[in-house]
Amino acid sequence: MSDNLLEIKNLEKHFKLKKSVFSKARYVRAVDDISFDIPKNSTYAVVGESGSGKTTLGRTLLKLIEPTGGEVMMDGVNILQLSNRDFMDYRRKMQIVFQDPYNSLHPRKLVKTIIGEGMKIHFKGIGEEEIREKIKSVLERVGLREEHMFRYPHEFSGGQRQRIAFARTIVLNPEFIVLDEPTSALDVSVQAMVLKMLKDTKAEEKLTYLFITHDLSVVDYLADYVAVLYLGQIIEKGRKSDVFNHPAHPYTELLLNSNPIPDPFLKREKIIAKGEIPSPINPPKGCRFHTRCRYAKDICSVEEPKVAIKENGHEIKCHFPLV
Amino acid sequence: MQMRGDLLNVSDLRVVFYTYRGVIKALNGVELWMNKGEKLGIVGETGCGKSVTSRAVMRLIEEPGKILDGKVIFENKDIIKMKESQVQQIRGNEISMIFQEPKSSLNPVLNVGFQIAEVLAKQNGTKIKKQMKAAAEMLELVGLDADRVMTMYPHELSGGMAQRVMIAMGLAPKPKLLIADEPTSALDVTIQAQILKLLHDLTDTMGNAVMIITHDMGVVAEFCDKILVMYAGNSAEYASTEILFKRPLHPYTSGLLKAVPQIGRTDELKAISGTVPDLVSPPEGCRFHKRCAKVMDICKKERPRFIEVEPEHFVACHLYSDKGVN
Repeated sequence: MSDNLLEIKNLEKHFKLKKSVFSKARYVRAVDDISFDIPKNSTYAVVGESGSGKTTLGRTLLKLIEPTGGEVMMDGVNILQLSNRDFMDYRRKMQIVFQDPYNSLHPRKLVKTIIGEGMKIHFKGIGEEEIREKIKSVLERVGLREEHMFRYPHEFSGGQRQRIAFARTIVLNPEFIVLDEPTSALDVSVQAMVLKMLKDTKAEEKLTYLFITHDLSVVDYLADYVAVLYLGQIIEKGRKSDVFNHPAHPYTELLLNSNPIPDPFLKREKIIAKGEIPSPINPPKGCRFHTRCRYAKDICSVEEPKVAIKENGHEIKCHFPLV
Repeated sequence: MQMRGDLLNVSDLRVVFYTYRGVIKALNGVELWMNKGEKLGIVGETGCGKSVTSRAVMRLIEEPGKILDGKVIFENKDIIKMKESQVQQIRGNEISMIFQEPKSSLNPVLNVGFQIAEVLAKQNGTKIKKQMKAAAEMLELVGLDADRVMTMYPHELSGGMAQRVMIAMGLAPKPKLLIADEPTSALDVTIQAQILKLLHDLTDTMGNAVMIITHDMGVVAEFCDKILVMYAGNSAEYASTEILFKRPLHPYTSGLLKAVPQIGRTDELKAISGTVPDLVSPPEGCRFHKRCAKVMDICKKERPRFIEVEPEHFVACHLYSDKGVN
């Protein structure tokens, strides 16, 4: 048995665009041939800007969106091939927390219904009493109180709602949780609390996270591994310490440099990117980043770079990796 | 009142909003000041009143909101006491504003060139057509290809381009003060870096002051000369960027700095307990006292004054009440 909880191989999701009568059908390759392994009990961060495909990736590997191709292996099974009935137990094992806690909780259901609903589906024959006990303990686990189960979502703040959304997932004893920008709608003082809770719960419940975000400072706090996405492709991945300390792809270097640092004494030269993020409908030929890359040479606009592998599985898709 | 800044002095600014839930005491005596050419950052969390403050400075508080009290002295004239026609002379000319959602603040049915020219025409009292050339120059100045962008409509622009257009519109009348309300919050980091650099360099060349409103401590650290921290409708702390980060005095400011994740940071994040108070019935005394680790009896009863604790470093906290410079 390998130590990977999930092995994602050549995953693809193409969205068909509306076409006119005369043109050929066009596709957006939102997730374009993505492969990576998520080790057990790790936090794997996926970072990228808007349009990079990070949210689509998270949803595709949970089969919330039907993938175009590729494999997602869990326990030696390709879960994408399973029938709905066989997939049921994987639904329980693989959960997701969405970005916006104001839209992801049913406004007319009590917290106890929101959290208890999944148990009724996945734990057949479970008694009301037991459900209640579990809700109670899971609420305490995420830092809320027992009496909160008799309230509606609108009675809670953003941070508390995100705790409820998280409680709803962990009550099912999952192994893997996709966290899709779980704190980007929250204020910093609240974000700190939620991040801490996520980190503590992961250690205690032996969870594995896929953490989707655009905020690199949060990645540094939470993640063990990072994959950097650009226009649907992974351009660099590896252990967080390797990627952050020695970014080898010019885009990773740019992202890290663009991230504003709350320290006025830190003097560093700012890299200003050329131009804007190209449309994913019509990505640049060759290396997709070449239009904005400050190191780009002729070959970059012609030939797609191969993946170079360095120590510790640090992979870079670039013709001229840094360092 | 004491004039601390030579461009703008806001004192005891009080704004309320009348809602069905009750009266929201949004601003509770805000104090701030700015010098010519200075970059001030106003930071704080959701609902602290930073956006309301910036709108009140331009007297843009509409029903059901009301400016109850206070002074907004802009170049020796009190904007609060002016006639509406006088305010209109200042608004968009001497003080201009750019917003968080650039696309929704542009007119969707007019092309970009026309909208910039309109601002200039209004200022100079000329026909819009006569300002097209000046509008094109502004677009070039913000790094856009004027030949192409002049005739584009807002829906054809990307977020970054739209914010550049907003900056062109904001700076076209050569204001003395540009107010930027979360100008980069809706943008990706690489685009944010471009826009902040542009804003920084352009305002340096043109010499205008900038008031930037943000929740991002990283943005203020990199952009601003001075910082005002607001909490629940009050000015909590004011200092130069270096001093504020090196020696935060208000427990809220130091709490905020400990809660911000940062690349390379090794110490554990510390959250501030509790949540922002409901401003319909804010806590008595210091509005932060329920979340404060250093709370004392006096904090629950008496509102702390905003005093100068050391030169150019102001704080509203009872911990320093006896340390006032004046």
